[in-house]
Amino acid sequence: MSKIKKVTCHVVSAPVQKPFTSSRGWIYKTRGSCIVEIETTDGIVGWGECYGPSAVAKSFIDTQFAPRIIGMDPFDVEVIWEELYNRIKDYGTSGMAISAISGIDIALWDIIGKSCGKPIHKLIGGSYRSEVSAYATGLYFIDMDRLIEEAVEEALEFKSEGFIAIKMKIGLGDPKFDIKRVEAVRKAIGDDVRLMVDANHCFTVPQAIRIGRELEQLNIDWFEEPISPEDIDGYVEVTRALDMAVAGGENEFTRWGFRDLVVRKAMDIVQPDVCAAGGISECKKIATLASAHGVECVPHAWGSAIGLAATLHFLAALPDQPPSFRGNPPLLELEQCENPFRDLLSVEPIVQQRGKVKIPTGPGLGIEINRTILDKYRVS
Amino acid sequence: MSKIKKVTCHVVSAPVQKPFTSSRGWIYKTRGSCIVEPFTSSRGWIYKTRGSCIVEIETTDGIVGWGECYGPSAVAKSFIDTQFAPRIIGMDPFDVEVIWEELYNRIKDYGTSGMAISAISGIDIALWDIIGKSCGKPIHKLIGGSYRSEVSAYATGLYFIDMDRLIEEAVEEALEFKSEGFIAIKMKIGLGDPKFDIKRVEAVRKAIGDDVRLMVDANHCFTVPQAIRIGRELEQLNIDWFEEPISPEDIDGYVEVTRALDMAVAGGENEFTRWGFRDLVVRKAMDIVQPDVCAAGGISECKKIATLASAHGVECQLLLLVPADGPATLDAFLETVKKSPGKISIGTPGSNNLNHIFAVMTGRVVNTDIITVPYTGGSKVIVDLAGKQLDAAVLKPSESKTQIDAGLVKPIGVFSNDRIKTLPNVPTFKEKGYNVFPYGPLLQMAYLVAPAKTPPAVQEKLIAIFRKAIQDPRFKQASEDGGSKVDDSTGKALGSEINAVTKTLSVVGKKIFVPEEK
Repeated sequence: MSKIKKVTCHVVSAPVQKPFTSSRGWIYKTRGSCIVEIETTDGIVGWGECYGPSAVAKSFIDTQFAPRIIGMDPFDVEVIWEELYNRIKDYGTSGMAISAISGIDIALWDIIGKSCGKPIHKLIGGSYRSEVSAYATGLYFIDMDRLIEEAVEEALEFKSEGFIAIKMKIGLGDPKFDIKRVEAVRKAIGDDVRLMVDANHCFTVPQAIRIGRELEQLNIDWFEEPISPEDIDGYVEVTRALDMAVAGGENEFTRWGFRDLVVRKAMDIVQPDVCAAGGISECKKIATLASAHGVECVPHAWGSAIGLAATLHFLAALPDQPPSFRGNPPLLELEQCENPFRDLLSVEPIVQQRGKVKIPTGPGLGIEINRTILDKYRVS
Repeated sequence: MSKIKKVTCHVVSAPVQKPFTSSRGWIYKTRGSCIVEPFTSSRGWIYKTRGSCIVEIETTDGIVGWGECYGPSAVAKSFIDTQFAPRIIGMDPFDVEVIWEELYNRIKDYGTSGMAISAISGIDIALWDIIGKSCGKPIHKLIGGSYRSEVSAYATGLYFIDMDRLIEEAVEEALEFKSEGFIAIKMKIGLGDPKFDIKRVEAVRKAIGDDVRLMVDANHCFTVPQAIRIGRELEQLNIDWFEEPISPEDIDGYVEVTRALDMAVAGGENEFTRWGFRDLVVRKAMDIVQPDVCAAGGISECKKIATLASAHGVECQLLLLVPADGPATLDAFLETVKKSPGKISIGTPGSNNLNHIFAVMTGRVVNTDIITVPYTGGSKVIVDLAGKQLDAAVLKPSESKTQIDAGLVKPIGVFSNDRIKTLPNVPTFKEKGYNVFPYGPLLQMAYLVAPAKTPPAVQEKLIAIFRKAIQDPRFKQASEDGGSKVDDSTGKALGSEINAVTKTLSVVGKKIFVPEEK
């Protein structure tokens, strides 16, 4: 039996040429990640990725998790998950500890797939689809003097590249200006391109309901993170009040975290991040909870080619909600800010064509890692 | 790519030599293996045969997978032959969940549970068999891995066979199971006379001794009050779980029986899919759900049901504490209580609440009076306990953790089914053999109140301030460490929750605080 021999964390970081921000006010000047590499005794290598501060993920893995899984069978992927979670939960049941477990879980699934000669999605239920529609995440705040113009320009660029859906940031401190900006974008791209907005939880409940009413007039697909993630009651209120779909959950973790959201239908769409919420094993469980409670599951994605590939396999195995003749398949979030790890880490980059992205069909994650990129941007 | 080529249903049936029944009263006359005598349960079905619908699926590359459907085999076969098989020919067996959803969505307009799902279960199991064989791996290595390489088994038996020798035959069969090495046995009950049922269980318990675990299965033959009444007596016989006390469709009734009894209540063998089990586990209608892999939706769906069950599990816990130099163990403390009737004082924050109930019950488990001393708050109780003004106290871990850590007081017993995570060395009353909640587990709540005439704007502001505080991750973590859960209800929703808890408390309170008739 093949066993886990070695776990390596590659912490990488690359400068961003054109810094950008959202309503969070964080200026993104670099993009980084903690890439997890796991090697087995029979020489199979699996890759995973952790969302969030990469040095923290590395420290969780190097000091808490890696020593516990050496010698274990990679096929015992959920056994390992429970073991690591139960090891760490006394120090907090969510956050970076779970991101770190996510990276390990994804790498183990990559190994399982490579061992069986099957893409991951064929081992977690099968493929509902061989390609997914992608939406472009962008329209951040870059040049504060040209906020409307730059948004319109970027949206038109996405449209010309073939995207059929775009998600833009809102939350500029002035709801009227937000609406003006969304209006300008909607007018520029026309009614055939789907448009979503993401407030990165900058509103109060009444603010969110008020601006939501106006967004509904602009044919917006969903209103992402209107309010603070810990305010579940507030989410219930906003979701019940608005006709449009409310989305959230990118900062929620594990089946227990999502249980509290879906039992109360706090949002119409939950957005677990495969690289954060607990990996592929746990996101399958979260999707189960969502389905049992009639909530849509459309994953959040903000990672490298590894996170993107893991998300694609998860999406391939996610049923339409609800199933029907012409169903409503979940969308892939294809974030469009500068990120060399998304574009260059896989030898064959994951790209969209006419708004669609193909699900990888090779064994495991189905991508080959370009180690020179890891070395070029290595921090530790 | 290998594809599904052929689906075959094998309907088999074998005669049962010795028909048997359970409280169902079904007469089993045949079965899949050789049985000496027909038997029945409380269903009254006399089992004179045992049968099954065995599903065989073959792929284009010659791999064969096997599955099985629970329930009437002819019906399962008809679902598969006419509705399901034609739809999956040509599909990839690795698309096992895709196939599940496809078949479920094909059939759900004609009913979302029952034999349709049993039929899907048989297909699902056969597909997993194929997937495992294709990968050269046992199924469990492909659905998360192996937590264990062997499991303890319990023997299900002790049906009703010879109506003139019901006790004798049960004892004989139980002893046979014990001699065969079984460490747990599940017996049928529900013979129409609860006293006789208890007599029969008692005889079995006596015969096998206390080291063999014993469960009972009523095959849903009781009403709610009957189930609670017989459950109380079963608790005295050290029964692991009480299976299917009442009718499966009565979820409210299950909630009532499960809350009322200290022992575990089990059920769900006749429930199907994640949606069916959702309604059971969200309300914790039973302590143990029992999906049948061959009925509830196969391996794929039972994994999902297990996910639901694991996502819903919370409980609130209280501690019995003594001063640092007090009795070292719960047993020693209770000995002291027995030696000084009416003299041992136990402090509680408030009165007529859960702490007070547990204080009274602490005396009652050794049939000795104690003095309960109500305080206006937990902080005052802990100070007097540390200063040895009290012999003991009932408090939350969060109210006593600091003093425990400082060595001023020590916890000796936990008033709940499980030990407390942060105090792993403190035993529960239950594991020491003391029953402190004979009237069912109780919920403790803490909430904030404002005067009735507080203006709405001020109320809103107060709610906002406290919500921010209690939803702070640090507060939440501290609460969870202390064995309680932070909720976030206000206004009417909170009011109705409080009313429900108050109602339970007043029912139990009456039993606790009003002297028992002797």
